[in-house]
Amino acid sequence: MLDFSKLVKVLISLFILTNLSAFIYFNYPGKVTRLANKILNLPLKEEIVKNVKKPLKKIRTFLRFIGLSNRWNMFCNVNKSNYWFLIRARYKNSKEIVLPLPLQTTNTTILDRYFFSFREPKFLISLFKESLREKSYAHFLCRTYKTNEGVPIEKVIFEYYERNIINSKNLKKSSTYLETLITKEILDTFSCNNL
Amino acid sequence: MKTLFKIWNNFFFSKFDPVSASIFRILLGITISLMFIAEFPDWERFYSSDGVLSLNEELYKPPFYKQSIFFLFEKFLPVRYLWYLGFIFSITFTIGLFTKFSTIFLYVFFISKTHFNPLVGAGYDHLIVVLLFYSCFTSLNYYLSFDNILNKKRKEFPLVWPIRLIQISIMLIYITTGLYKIVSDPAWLNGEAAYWTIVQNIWGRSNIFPLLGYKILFFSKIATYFTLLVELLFPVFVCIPATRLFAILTAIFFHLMLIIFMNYVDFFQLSMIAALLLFVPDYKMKYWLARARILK
Repeated sequence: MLDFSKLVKVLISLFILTNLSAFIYFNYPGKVTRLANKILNLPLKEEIVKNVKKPLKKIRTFLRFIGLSNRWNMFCNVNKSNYWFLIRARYKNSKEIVLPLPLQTTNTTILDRYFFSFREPKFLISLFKESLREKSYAHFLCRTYKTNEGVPIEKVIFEYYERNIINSKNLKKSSTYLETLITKEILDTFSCNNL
Repeated sequence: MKTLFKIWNNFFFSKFDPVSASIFRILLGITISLMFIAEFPDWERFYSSDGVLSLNEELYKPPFYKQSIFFLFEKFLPVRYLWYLGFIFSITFTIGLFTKFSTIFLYVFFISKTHFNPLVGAGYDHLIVVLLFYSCFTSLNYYLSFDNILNKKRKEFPLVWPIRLIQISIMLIYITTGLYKIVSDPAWLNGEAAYWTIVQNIWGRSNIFPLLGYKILFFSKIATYFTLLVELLFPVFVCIPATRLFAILTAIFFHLMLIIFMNYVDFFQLSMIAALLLFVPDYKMKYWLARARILK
């Protein structure tokens, strides 16, 4: 007769093993992929390889969906410079203004800057990794700040500024942590016409 | 083989006194509630279809956004109501009222948030998702909860496997991030990583440090190597009963220091501290709570 409690234990054990394997896979993808390729490149029938790869892909998608596909490599590469983004709007009368967004308005309290805006840095860093994301945000800005003193918006400009941190060798001679040179780059410009 | 099964069975399928799990629930609940308060002003901006991602237009589409409760909910009611709902459940989770339901709801809520707008999803969200996911399988309301007051009938102690999964996840997080640091950036080996991080305008609270001058490098060496030691050795020391408490307290101290010296990572540190409490042996936690007159 089937022992129900044993069956539950087996199922839970499988669940535990799947979870731990997922952690290893998503955190050490290079090593796991190399090992999997080694195994799958053995003279196996193509059909078998296909049959293995398909469900593995589905499992991977499912793990992503339930939130167990995280990669824990926070602060592994540290930034060697200060950087910030500046988002401006240009209106049809040629007037340019810095948009009153979190982290770029000066008249904010400490609570606004460090507590209520806690999602802003990660948002901006992820945003500027892909042009289509920037475009989505630009459209939002065009909608939100569509006029200034009655004048319609013309375009949104994304700027990036960088200022190097002084390296340890030169720090003794310096009275500040930062180099004087600030570099500026225009990341993208989006027209607000036809919106 | 039989011994291996026995060890596996004892490790994952024994019962445990969930006193530390209850304290974990309270601290995690407070962290989540604070997070909700911090998100209040930007809620629609980040989590509505008309928000920063302009999901109503044919532009960037996150892979799972249609499976998010935010997407489904918005068809019927303004997304602001979800904030109220989420906040209420973060409170019921903290005080241990309808704990199981609150845990499941918060898990679905958090995973939905990262699906709807992955651009704002950060380490703290992913960590909270993991913690809530495993918490769905255990009972966090055994002590210091309204559920316990309302239902006086003493329940059996739960199986320990969900807590073990959280503990293993935390240990793996430390080891993984520690190993990645060593191989990714020489600054972690020459002791300068803390300097670059603290001085950096986004992540570091550099405004605390202008007075230190170049002496900051000495401080940086201590902080960098301390970070590596905690991340690489915590999983070892926490497994040894004699050093367990020392490992937990050192790791808590480490996370408190990060709250002091770094910006925008507070919710991650608070969630990690909550998870670290799950390593505290139940008798020790009971003793502390009794001394603080929280438990009889």
